[in-house]
Amino acid sequence: MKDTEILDLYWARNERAIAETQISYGNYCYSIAYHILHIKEDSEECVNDTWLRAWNAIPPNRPGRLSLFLGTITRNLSFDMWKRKNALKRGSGEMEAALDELVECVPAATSTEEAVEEAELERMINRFLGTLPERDRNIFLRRYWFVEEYREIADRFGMNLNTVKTTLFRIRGKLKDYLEQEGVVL
Amino acid sequence: MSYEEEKREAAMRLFGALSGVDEAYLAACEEDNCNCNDNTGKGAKSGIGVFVRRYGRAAAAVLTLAVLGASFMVYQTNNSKDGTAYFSEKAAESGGAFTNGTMMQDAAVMGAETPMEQQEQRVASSVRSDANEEGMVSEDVERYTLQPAEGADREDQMEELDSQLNAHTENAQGEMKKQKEITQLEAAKLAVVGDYLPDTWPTRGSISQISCDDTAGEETLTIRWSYGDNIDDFELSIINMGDTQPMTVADVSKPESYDERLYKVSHGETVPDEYSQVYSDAVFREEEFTKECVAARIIAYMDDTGDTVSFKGRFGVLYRTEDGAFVVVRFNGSGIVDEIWEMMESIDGQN
Repeated sequence: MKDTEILDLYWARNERAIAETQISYGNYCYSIAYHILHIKEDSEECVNDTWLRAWNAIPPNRPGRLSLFLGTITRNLSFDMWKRKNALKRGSGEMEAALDELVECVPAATSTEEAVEEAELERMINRFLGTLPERDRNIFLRRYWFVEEYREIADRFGMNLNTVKTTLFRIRGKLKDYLEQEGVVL
Repeated sequence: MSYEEEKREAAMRLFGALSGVDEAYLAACEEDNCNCNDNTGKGAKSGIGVFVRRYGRAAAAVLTLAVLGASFMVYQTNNSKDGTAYFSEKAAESGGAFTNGTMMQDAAVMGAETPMEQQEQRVASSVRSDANEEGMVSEDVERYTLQPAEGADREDQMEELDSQLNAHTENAQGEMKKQKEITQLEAAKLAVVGDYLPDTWPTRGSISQISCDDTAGEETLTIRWSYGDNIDDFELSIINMGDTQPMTVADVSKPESYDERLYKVSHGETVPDEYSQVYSDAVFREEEFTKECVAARIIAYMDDTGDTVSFKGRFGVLYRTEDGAFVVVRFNGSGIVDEIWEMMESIDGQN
């Protein structure tokens, strides 16, 4: 079923919308959740919660790209669940590795400044991403948005594993420089 | 909260903020599933696809050897009264190349107990086959040979071996990727983008890497310059955009739209929204580009300690080719205004 037809079902408050969403985007959303959580049951719970959120959000929303709309909800829900379960401990896995890498992007803070607002931080990240060559940007997003492993990214783009690692290392350095130039405090 | 915990908290904020990435970027990311090795953009995720891609070239080498070996044996059998004797004689003459090659490989694979071991044996054996074929010395062969390991170490070794194998086969069979490293000489020979290489470079440092990429539908030549301290460097990208004009062309009569000296950090708050797009990625038309533009875009930044000042910035210059295509040369990184201006001024383009 096409996105527009699924959206029509949501707008008509027809519960078949959820079943059709599950068929079209179940695997996609599960994949996003699983990359973050690495636990089958938790991932399934996040995907089910995604459908509920979508049901409550559409209408009034009418997403331009349903996959991205759903994917973002799943990512947020999965990250929230991951935080709840890992707030007090350091675990292992790809999510931990991705966060450890993102620590390298954190600019040095100065005590007189206040932490940047969430929306402003998002805007800055978007601006930064806009300065990257498209392939670099996609590699970065694959790693830190989709939390994919290096090997997956290398396979996806037909690149050498070491090239992926080097590219991400370079982008993290650039992001840190950029945030520092912008005077960001996190 | 400890320093480490604060950093981690900040990293989590960054991760969370990434949920607000522009849909256009995510959409482009999702569409960019091109596997540059096979040029199909398909099959990147299938297990067989991954295996074929990783070991395909090695498998092709083994298959070629097997076919050649079989043809050779048939030929000798047909042209000799005693083919077996002839084969043994030739095997001895070749210093055991046959034995170490295909035959040994098959034996090793048959002796392996698990699929993983069989896979490892095949990869290692295929390298040995290639090595025999190319006259590599035994030390080289050992470099590609897998040592026994278990669990994660074994996975790491497989990855390492895979990486070595890729490097080896790439050297042997030529570069097939669209994104590739090239020499300065090769870069200069590239049609269109090669014409926009500067003649003058900064006095300190050297080119650390040149790569060419045409996977994004626009040809890009990227030159990385290293000043030698691994911190300060810059990247010069020459992009053939075809008919597409960049969105962020600056109007030099409006310095408030691009001059970084006019605003204080955080720029996100001080730069008016109407200029934010051009401000973040200013591109100047060739005919309007002056040293003043460079000075407006490369400004001083204090490091964390407050002791060192470095000059950094980013901007682009828009050229038109003889055919009317748009070419943008982007500078991004560190540099002294005078030197960067001289470098940019030395670009002749197609004039």
